[in-house]
Amino acid sequence: MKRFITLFSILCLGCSLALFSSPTADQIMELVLETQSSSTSALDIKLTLIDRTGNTRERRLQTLSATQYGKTSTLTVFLSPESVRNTRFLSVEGTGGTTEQWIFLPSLKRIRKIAGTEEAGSFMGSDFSYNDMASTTYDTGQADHHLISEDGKSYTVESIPHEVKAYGKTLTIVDKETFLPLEVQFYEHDGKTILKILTTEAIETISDRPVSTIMVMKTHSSSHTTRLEILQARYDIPLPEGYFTTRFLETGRL
Amino acid sequence: MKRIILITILLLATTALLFAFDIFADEEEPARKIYLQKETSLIIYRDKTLEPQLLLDISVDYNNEAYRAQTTLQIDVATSKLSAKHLSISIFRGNQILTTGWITHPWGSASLTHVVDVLNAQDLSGGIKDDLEAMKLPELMLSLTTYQERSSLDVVLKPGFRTTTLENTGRWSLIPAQFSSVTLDEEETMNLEKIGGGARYRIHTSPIDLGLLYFNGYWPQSGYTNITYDSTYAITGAETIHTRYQLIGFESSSLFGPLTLALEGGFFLSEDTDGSDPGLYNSKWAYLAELSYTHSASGTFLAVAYQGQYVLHFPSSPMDVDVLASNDGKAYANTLLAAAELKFFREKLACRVAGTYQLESTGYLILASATYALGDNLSFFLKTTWYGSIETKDSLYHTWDANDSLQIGLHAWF
Repeated sequence: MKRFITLFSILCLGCSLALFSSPTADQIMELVLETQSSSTSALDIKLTLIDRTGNTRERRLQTLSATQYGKTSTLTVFLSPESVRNTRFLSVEGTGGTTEQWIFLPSLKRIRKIAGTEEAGSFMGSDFSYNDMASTTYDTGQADHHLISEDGKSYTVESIPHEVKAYGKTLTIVDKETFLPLEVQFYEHDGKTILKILTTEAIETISDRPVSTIMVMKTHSSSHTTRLEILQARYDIPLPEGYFTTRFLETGRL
Repeated sequence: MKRIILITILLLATTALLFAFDIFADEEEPARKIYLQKETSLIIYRDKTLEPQLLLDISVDYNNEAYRAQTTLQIDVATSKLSAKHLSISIFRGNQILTTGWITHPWGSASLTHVVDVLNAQDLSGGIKDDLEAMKLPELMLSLTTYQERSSLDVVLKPGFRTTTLENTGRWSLIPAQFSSVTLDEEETMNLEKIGGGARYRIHTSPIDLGLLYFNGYWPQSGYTNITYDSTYAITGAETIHTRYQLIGFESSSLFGPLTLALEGGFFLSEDTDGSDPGLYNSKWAYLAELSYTHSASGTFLAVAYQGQYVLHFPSSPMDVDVLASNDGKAYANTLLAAAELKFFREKLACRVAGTYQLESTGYLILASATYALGDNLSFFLKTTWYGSIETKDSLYHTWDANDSLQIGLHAWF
């Protein structure tokens, strides 16, 4: 039902955009988020880290996410390389804006309660930060959006975050057909120096929705790149609550 | 025999696909997975002795809806020793997991050290490693864990127990030279008279993860009785005995800003309640506080801890086991610990350093290591260990002062 409402709202918005005028930057960025949102998701991800000489390293992880009453729980399991295999990370959003987080380290055989941090650092040595893994765009409450240009296929939107943390500015080129980001440029705090560029290399239709299945993030200063490939994806599927518990974190079993 | 085990395991093995959840696996998920890891290294001691080390770990994990069987065997080529590090069968039924086998079962909420992690004895026959879990001796155990939404109860039963492994001779011996020729009659500890058991109840709430513990069993360190002397009053023989005690303790973990505060503590009520038997360990209080910081995205870990104990009815006799096991002959013992793990070059290089300082004996231990990833499943490592003491007071660290070492090696997973 939720999917129908979402599709209906996208269609309505699409019609209104076509009938009247170009959408506003806020409307575009809301559609970008709407296109990528789901009540639940299960992703099987491969990260390939490529240094400037072409040497590669691979990381494999699977992540489950469920949003209920506006609260999101996320479970991430690291599968490779072997040194991090079966490391599990659980994040449960609670009431009052609090988020509880636990990590299970196989070497310690224990779960450890940890504090949430500003995750601007490199995720598993890749060019993605922890925040990038969650989302590469800002919603309207987080940033001021400006429509910079438009052509037959895409919109270019500048986003300046209200609170500058990792980036001073982003430029997002949005596909008019799918409302997925085709490219995102991330700028330093000065808003002028390019830090990283994210390019979408493949878009597929999964569960009747467009999904960016291959993305490449390049760090400008080091020429180091990370290719993120979604090997498998499931959206809006029933996910047992048992996945988002310290029991699953500790045992790996439902 | 080893070859047969190896061939059998390899024949049984299937290609291991990677799945964490049934959602992706469908019917493709292999029930049986095999993991191999090899470590080759050379240890150089301060006295210029060289010790090559070649370890092969073979792990097989069979997993289906009803049960899971896990096996980890280690072959130490240098000593021609085959050992079982883990052999278990777990049965899953509703919200309960019944596990039995040759296992380690961790209690305690801290990361650097523990005072309530009492279910497994330690192997001190090769010095102190930078991996507490790897130093534990697996034991025959049965555990039943019942999970509720935000709480769990695990009940553990041990039919007998293993004692702390110590070397009688050589560089890792903790026995004074004058006692090296003493004949010890070791007490049998693997029988039902030595049964032990306990339970832990844990609850995960928003402000605190709390566990309450009870254990009734034996202290893994030996005491001594029926000591015999020769005509010059030199000790010639003794029988080992072990102390039954009850532990009533707790473990907790809570957030303190960006830091995790872990607390462990408890009272060990000895069968020698008034401390009158010199061969048995007395009752004591034990406590631990640890502050740690984990940055999950970068893998950075920093921690400091303070650990201590206070022995009741502390005896004056130098032959009492409480005095022999004490630091500088004192009823109390307090230790400061600190550790850091940092990763560099996009996690290619991981550096770890940990230090322990025992306040009463002034003994210290420093462990440092650097691991460089040569590939996804191949790494080069360099480890160093320093034992010592600021003053010449008796302690484990002072006894092992000459055992400082540097280890260089390769670790591969395949």
